[in-house]
Amino acid sequence: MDEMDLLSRLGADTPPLADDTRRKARAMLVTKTSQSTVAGRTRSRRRSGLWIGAIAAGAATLATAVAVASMTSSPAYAVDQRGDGTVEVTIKEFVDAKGLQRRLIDAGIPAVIDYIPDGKGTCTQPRGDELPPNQTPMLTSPQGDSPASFSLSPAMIRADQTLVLEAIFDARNPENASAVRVSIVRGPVSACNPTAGPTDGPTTGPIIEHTDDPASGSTQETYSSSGS
Amino acid sequence: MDSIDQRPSSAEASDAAIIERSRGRPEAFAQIFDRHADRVHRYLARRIGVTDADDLLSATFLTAFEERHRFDPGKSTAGAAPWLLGIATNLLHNHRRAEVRRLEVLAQAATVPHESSSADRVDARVDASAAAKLVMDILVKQPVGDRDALLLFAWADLSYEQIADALDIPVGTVRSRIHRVRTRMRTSINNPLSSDEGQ
Repeated sequence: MDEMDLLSRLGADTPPLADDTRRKARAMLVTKTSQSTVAGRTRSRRRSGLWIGAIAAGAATLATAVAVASMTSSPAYAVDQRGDGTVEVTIKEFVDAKGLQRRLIDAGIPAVIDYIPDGKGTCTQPRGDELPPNQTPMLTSPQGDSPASFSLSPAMIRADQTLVLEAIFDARNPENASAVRVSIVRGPVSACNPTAGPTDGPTTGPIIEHTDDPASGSTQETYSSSGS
Repeated sequence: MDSIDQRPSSAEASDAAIIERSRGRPEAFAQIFDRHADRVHRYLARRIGVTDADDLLSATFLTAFEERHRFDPGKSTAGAAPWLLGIATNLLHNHRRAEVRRLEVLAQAATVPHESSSADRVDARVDASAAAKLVMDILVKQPVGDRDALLLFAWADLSYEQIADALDIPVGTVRSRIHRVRTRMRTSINNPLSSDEGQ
């Protein structure tokens, strides 16, 4: 037995790539590719995302807050995976968008999550080539003590697709959102560059700026007061 | 040593074509992951263990995506595998402690299976296990460039030319690096007392 024969046998019983690891790594990559800027790309003008809340009726109603469950002592969100692979997402407070994004990626769902403080406009729509509503997870409207929630199966998200969730939240009471929107985008997802809306104007609420690095998994949130 | 040929059939798009397409349609790059994730992970896991390999798998493909403009189709006769394994190898350099630990574990666990249980076979197994420990001991002590070349050959099934592409070094350098480590291993096996020589 020569040295190469010996070497080739060492570690030959290394376990194969686990399905969970594959899903997570793939979701991370797809999220990254979906956020890559492609100059000159023609986007679909279809607008099929589902806005839940006041914004569905028009931007003029943005300021109408929708009560979301107030559970300040519990985590901001929950991502639960059932035995059949279905993922249930519950959002109790609209903070730590990138934490929720990472948690979804861990569950094998490429995702882009953006929370925008009320009064700072909305993400320019569409963010990409959106699937029609009947292929989009149904979002349960936050009402009373019931938080916003939706469920989906990783199978709903195909190879080049990304879950996109946006919320306009009350900076003073992050458990409140005036609008929540969920969609599935095929291909690239444009960055959220909030447009100036009718509710724009002086505000004392904080602006949350995210610096997200999918490669390292690190996220930094910088809070500042626009009113100061 | 089994050789894995993951080149696509003529009916499938080549890796080079997919990477080229991903410059305009980034999402296409996921196909490169689908084709090569298992092989890249296997190589990483053998070198640093499964847990660290899980993390480096993501890092490898995210880096590859960011640097896809550097992929040279002229060197792509074997597809994207050598390029990806080269990126994985570079990322491994930040995990040298984990790699040394992994190689030491492999050395400790080194057994060479035999089907027979006869006394002669047991003796042979003991000899082979001792030799395997010597091989791993030599490997740990080698310059990282030499180890990279040898393990891309032995554990990632790359040819000398593909290793040259992966590490961006001349093929003659690959040949001399692998020859140097193999000679040290052979010397160590044949004369264990000399295992610290020539390093």
